[in-house]
Amino acid sequence: MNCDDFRAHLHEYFAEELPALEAVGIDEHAAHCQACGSLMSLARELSCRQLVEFLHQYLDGELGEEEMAVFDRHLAICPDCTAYLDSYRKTMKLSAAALLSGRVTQPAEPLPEGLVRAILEASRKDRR
Amino acid sequence: MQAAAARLPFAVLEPIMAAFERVNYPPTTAHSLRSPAAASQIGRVEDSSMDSIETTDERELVDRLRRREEAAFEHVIRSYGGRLRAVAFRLLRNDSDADDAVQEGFLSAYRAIESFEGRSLLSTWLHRLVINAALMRLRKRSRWQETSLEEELLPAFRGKGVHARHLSRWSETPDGAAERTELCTWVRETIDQLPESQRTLLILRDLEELSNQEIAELFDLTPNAAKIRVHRARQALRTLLEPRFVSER
Repeated sequence: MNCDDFRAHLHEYFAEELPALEAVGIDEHAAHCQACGSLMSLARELSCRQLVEFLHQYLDGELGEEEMAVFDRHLAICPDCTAYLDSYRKTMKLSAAALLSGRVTQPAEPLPEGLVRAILEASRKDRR
Repeated sequence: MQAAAARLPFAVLEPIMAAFERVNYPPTTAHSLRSPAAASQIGRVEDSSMDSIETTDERELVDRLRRREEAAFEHVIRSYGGRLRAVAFRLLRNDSDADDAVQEGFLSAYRAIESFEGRSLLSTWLHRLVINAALMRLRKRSRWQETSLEEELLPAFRGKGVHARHLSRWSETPDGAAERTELCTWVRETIDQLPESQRTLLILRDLEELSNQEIAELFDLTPNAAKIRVHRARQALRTLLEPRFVSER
């Protein structure tokens, strides 16, 4: 296995979808090639699932320095997580923008007179 | 209803409310909610300092509410009711439920006014009471428990935790005003398709601008659990928004 093959099959390797023999090839290549070995270590350091699960803490700056560095290293090698992070940020912005613009376009009307009277009447009953 | 009012730990919520009320109800807004007639009704004295007018007004108003003065209660209902009903309607999407939630919220306030310590604005306190009343109604609905749909909308992984499929970078959001308006309308409609509990969380966080701490109190969760729920609601919305921003390959 060469470096290109290694990179091409790394996702399938971590998805556990590679035939056993090819998976062994990945392990052997990582053991002998320094660059691919480092990539393998980084990929093992934090899974995509873990990154996505704790993404809100990463964005809110609630992780420790070392954890932040681990997240950054994962993002540097994982286009899927980078795309996820970008789309998650866009989702946050769109949600707030859409909901707030809805409030502006639908101004509050005065409370219906019947409801004002019903609340007052209920409070009178409550007092009795 | 007494029990409903007692559910809210006011002493805990009030300092938190104080921190957020400037966003929700800036002083000018609270002031503008009062009609001149209503202002004279509560014995407002002209003063050069807007802040002190607010403080005096509010304290007086609360004192009158504590004395169970109906005129003061009516003033509060008329001043804040419209806006609070809009809050309830956004959560409940039903006129009669929104009316009931507003009524319950005001009655909770009427009964629990003794526990209002003035560390937040009255309007902020009422806002939380109406939200609490609306949440109690929402929880009774069958759509509240949609755990299977919630699961489906979460990101999927395979094997040792890699993404189940490759993700593409989203296209940029449009710059033009008309396109943005159309996009916002579509996003609101998409939020409405979320399971009720997730839709509610996004409205409380992004529209009513409640903190995770306040959401935790309202949902009877730890602050960390509340954060995770909001995170999942955003992940679910991301899943529903994705097709629009990813071109077919």
